[in-house]
Amino acid sequence: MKRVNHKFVILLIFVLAGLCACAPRSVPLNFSSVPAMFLDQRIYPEKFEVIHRCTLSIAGRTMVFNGYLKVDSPLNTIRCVAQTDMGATLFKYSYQDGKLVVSYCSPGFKPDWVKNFALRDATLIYLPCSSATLPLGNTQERIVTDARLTRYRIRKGDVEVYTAMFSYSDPQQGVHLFEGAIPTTITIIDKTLHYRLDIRVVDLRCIPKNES
Amino acid sequence: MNRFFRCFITPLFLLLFISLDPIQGAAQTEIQLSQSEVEILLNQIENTFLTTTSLGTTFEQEKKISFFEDTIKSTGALLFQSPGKVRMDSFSPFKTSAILNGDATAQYEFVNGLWNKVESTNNNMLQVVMKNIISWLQGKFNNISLYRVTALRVNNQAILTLTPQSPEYKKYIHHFELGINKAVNGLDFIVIMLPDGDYTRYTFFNDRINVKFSSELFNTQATAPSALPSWLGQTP
Repeated sequence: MKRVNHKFVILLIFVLAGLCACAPRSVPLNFSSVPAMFLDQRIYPEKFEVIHRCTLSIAGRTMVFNGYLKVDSPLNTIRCVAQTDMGATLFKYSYQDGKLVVSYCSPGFKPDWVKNFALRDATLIYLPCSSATLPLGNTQERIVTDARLTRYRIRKGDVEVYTAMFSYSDPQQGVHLFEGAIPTTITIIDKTLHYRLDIRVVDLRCIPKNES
Repeated sequence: MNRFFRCFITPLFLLLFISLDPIQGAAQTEIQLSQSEVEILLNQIENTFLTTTSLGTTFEQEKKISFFEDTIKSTGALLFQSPGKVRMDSFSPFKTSAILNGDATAQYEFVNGLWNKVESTNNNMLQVVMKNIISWLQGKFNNISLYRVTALRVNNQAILTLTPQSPEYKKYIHHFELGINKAVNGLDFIVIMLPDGDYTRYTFFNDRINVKFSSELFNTQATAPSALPSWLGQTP
């Protein structure tokens, strides 16, 4: 019988699977203090699937992964899975009726990160939020260039605590992006949570209304 | 007429369906190998795979995510140079390159027409995954401490199923399926099956074995990955 290499087993578990033993749980969230980035949500179709190529820098670490999201704007739902290139899952969640259910979370990825930035950024970008109010002392600003949102920022006093930058370069060859003026690159810098997220939108497909 | 249907046509249809079933079954013969046959097969695989000192292949990746309507497809290439060099490039929908050379790794992203080296801190993870790929490319599947190995023959093709042994590991990977090619010197496909039913499948084609690769292809110090041989497809 071959000798068990425990280190290898543990690493393989963490890496190939990429999933963590965090049991499915439900976390009620209040997004009333977070406004949607886009005032005009007609930039995106009502229902769509989108693939992100992400580079996340947080707590001195950099991770590259792919995000697969399904968004249903009228139902206010997002389903998301983040995977590495090799198919390992970093995290998986669904957000519906104001509740977040994190079904998987890898050891290198804290469940709080899912709640505090993965879901928050996705809802800010993709879901409408009509009754938005900011925490006391915070102000928001949208910079529109050529009828497109190019920068969204939240300030706390004079300090810019959250910035999202959008660029609308031509989609890559062979990418079937939704025929609209959607951003193809999004950069988010959060100075409160100390992370930077670079998103490349590599594919976005509209789901016909009669499909779930 | 009704009586004619009841007495003759309906039984005839039933008979036809019953008789068709074994014919359909015969089109996809599936034979479960016994444990001793699996041992023989694994030895054969290891012996023939070990003669492969280098390999270049293109692949199609199909990813099934439960809530996505369609399977997500991407393409790329895999290079292997024995004993410890492997490189995996993705061509579409985005271009990336990941290289393992001994204990050194490098990861590159092609953005806005330029290659960027990503100083990723999950390179340790990358290293473990790629070393696992190397062990499979060397035909080392029979790691009984990690996996229970079973095998099927489907239309003369051997398909190995590697099911994790450890209860912890089983929570995260349901099993791997590895399709051994007909020459028994390489893989036709790998399926990584997750417990929730999502899976990633790599199908390999256009294999070339024991070709000479430039060492530059596995250079982890360069600012950009070296261009792949033209027969492997895309080069930016």
